[in-house]
Amino acid sequence: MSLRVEGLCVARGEAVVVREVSFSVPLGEVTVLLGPNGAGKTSLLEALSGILPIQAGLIKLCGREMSRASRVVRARAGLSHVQQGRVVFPTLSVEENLRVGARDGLEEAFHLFPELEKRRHTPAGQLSGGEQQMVVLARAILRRPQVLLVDEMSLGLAPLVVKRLLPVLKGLAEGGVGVLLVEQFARLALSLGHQALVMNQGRLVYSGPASALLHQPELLQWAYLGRSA
Amino acid sequence: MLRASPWFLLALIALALLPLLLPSYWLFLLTSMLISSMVTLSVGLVSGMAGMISLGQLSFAGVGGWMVAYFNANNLPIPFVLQVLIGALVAVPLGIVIGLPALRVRGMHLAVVTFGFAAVADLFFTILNFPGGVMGKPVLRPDFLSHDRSYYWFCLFLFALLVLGVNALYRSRLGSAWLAVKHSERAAAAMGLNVAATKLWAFAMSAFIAGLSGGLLAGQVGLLSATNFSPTASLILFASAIMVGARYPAGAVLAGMMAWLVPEVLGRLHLSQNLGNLIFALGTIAALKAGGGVFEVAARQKKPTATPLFSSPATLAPTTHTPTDRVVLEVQNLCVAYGQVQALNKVSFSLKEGQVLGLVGPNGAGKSSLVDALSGFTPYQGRVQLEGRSLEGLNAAQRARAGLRRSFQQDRTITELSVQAYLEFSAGRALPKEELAWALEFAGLTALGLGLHSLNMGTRRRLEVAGILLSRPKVVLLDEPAAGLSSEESLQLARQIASIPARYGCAVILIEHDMEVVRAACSEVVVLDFGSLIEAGPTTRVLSSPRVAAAYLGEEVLA
Amino acid sequence: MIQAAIAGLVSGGVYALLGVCVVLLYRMVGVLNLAQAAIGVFGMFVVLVCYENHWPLGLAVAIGLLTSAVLGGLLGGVMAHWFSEASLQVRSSVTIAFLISILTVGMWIFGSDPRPVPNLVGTGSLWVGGLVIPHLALVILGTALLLAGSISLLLQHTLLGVWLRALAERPTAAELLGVPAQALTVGVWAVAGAISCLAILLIAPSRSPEFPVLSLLVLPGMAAALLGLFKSFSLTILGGLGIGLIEGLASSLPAVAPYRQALWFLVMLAALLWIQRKEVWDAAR
Repeated sequence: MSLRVEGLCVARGEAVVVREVSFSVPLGEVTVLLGPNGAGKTSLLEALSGILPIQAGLIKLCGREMSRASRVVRARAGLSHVQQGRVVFPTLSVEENLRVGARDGLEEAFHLFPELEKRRHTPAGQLSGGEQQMVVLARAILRRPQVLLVDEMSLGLAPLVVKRLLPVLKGLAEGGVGVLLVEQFARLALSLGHQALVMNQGRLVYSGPASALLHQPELLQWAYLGRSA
Repeated sequence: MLRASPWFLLALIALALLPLLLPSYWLFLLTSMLISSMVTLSVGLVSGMAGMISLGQLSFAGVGGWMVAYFNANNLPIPFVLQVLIGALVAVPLGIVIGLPALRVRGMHLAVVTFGFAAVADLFFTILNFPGGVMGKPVLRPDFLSHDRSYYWFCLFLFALLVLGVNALYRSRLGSAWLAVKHSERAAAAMGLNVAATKLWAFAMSAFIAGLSGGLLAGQVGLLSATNFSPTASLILFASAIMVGARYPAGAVLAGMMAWLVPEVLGRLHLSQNLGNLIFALGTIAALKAGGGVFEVAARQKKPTATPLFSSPATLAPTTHTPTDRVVLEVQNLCVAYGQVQALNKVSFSLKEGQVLGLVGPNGAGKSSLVDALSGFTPYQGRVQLEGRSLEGLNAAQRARAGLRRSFQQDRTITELSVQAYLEFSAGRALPKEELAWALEFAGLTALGLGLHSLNMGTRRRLEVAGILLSRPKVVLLDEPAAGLSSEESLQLARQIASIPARYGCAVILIEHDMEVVRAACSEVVVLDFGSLIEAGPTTRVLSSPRVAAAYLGEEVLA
Repeated sequence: MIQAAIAGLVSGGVYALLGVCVVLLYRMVGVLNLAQAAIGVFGMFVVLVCYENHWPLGLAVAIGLLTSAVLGGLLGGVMAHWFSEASLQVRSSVTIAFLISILTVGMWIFGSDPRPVPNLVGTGSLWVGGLVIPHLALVILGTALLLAGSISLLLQHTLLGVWLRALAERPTAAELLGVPAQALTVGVWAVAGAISCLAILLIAPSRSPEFPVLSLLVLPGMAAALLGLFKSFSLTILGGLGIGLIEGLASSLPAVAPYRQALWFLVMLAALLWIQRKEVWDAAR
């Protein structure tokens, strides 16, 4: 049971941004995807959730072919995507933001993030960055996904907030969700992750246990700052 | 320079001979076709070339027709040919007035404004009535044009002149400027172009052409009425222009032919002529889905003629500059704020002659704001001096002309142009062979005649840089030129960038995410984080500093 | 003067209704629909045909509204299916083709002979403090307010409304949360179609009931929508009524009276230039 990707190629306009990438995201685990800016991580996630069309390859969610399915079909089949940049619906209140995709009640969200309950009637656009990220994450969790894609959740957030949000993903994975996490706080992410993937120039250049990457800082630096770092 | 292709001449001769073979009914249809083609040409100019939707072109034609009718009804002693010309000229200021909103209003909003203009003009035409219309006093043609055949030849002559003129215009700098403005106004201004004037020229010229066609219509049918120029007819005209791709004169001819032949054929088949408009509507939807009309799609699929122009790569004698201590660009206390958000906070640095300076930093550090501020697209506080001259008070185009040029993160090359036309447009002058050869070598190309649309992204990006260099700027800002390139391509580009000062004598600021590229191209770097300059100095030292690593990897690396 | 202005309320209310439809489509599904009025005109002609054949007026109107809703839904379906990823400009250009198609088919089916137009409301009027207020104006005003009220209620207090607003603000994010964007697009087009039909039915007796003429009423509707910044339904209604009042006032000035139905153009131009005054550059960065 997993999200499986085989030979995926994705283009943005005329530029090929993901080249023949294959991997799988097992349910119940956190898979960390690393790489420098422009490596193609966001494009990869967008192709998985159907925002970008794919040029070639296969996407299978728990055995079900998804390569050409629409976003809505993928979302309803159990794929949830937390996009980069805290994409809340700014004029909708916190509660309404959560209701957009919720399968049942909202209690779980307020249980995970009690601070949101106090602000349930505030327009999401007026929340702090950290709170907005909580809304976005809670919204995705309320979809009860099988696989959760998370893109640069911590971008522009205070480290304290990040330390609060990331363990929530670990908890989800323990509950049986497959998590694919793109994260700039590489070490923190790797410490949660089971498996790690590193992309560069659209290709997958490393795939293996997260711990191996965590204990080889030179490999990590290489992934971000280039060969001679 | 008027150039005529053999196809054009052949078609012209055929069209000129047709009236000798056809009965007068067909002659009338042919004349109508020419006049329709003319007004379609005017849509192709303003909408196809310059990218501004105009749904009121027939109203300009109405003005031209109105003037001719007016001269006739009042028996003014003006020769008919001059009447038509005056009618066209009167449409020009109106075109400029309708074009003025286009300096701020774009896209569909402009479409609504021009369609509104068509509706209002229709109201005026209906209430005021065309002169002579009520009295039944038709427009009289002079003796030498009185026969339908001679009038057809007259229209054909004017149409041929118009096509030659428009073709020459499209190949001129103004034509390139229209395409540039259609693609991106910022990129056009960054090439030193006056965007407002470029847009107004498009409206003025298209109004002239449309006005001319209106005058000719007056001469053809004698009595005009508001229905000749109705808003609905303007809509159909626009739709057929989209369908054929009226930017191409041949497309305009096709549209003009279809406008009259389709109803004719349907009539002969005893089918409703309404089918014709329906065909146009469906064709328009198909063209919008395909992303271009018949001729545009055809032009895209045409195989490029790849004839190498130069047998030996010419060596260019560059104006060699070695790095000196002379400062070419001085930035002092630069601050940029968007509302409450401080995007740049007191950034100061200087760029020395012959230097390639790297500008790096994580996402959201303020790199793009810095480029936008320096190139005149974002208001800022602080001082920027180019070779001792203050740039404050200069807009984007003036800064470009003063010698500060920039590239864009996204591909902003003008895909409709050929390599040579693009280079000469970007350089702002006709280029001698050696310089063209140098640019080809820089971009890794062998032929000048290729259309930019047929090139891959990497080649286009290098061509953009080459075009900028050929304008002989003093300072070049390259905004992530390696974005979207493969690693081999980016390293090759990096080496080329490193050689720019020595070969072209200008200093370079390179904004780049890819550290490999920065290492290969830059001797020094400045690092931005959260809008402030946090490090500056020699590349190797700065990039290995823990502070920079922290900015990139997040705070926890330090812990 | 005041009496003249009141006479403009009928037109103004109809501009307001059409403006509401324009805003609905612009906000919810991202298209500037030039065919909006034409969709309503098509339904109105169905009503006229039914009425000519002595069908009960209520039934005729119901069929007309349904026709416009179905027509709108069909066009919305074309949009959702083929142009869901296209830009606002391309999508709106498609509506130009829609407009041509509806005009052509409409003239084809219904011909251009004049048909008697039923007066839905009657020609009675109300006397208030020496001013004559036609029933029609009251009905139109009521309809506009009722409509704005119910749209607001729907948007604020139902899950459907939450979905629509989510879709309007961040379409991609909404789809990623499983909001059925295509079905909603078709629904919004259909509802806007029915409202346009009602608006056209109300104004038809006071205008020349020709297909192209009535279809151009979308333009003053757009002027009203602009005054609502393509966002606010209540401002759009006020904008439409305002334009109507100006037209009414102008009708009492002999010099401008014949051209009063062009005044919306000036309002539109002024509003657009004001809204866009800071847009020195196009969107392409």
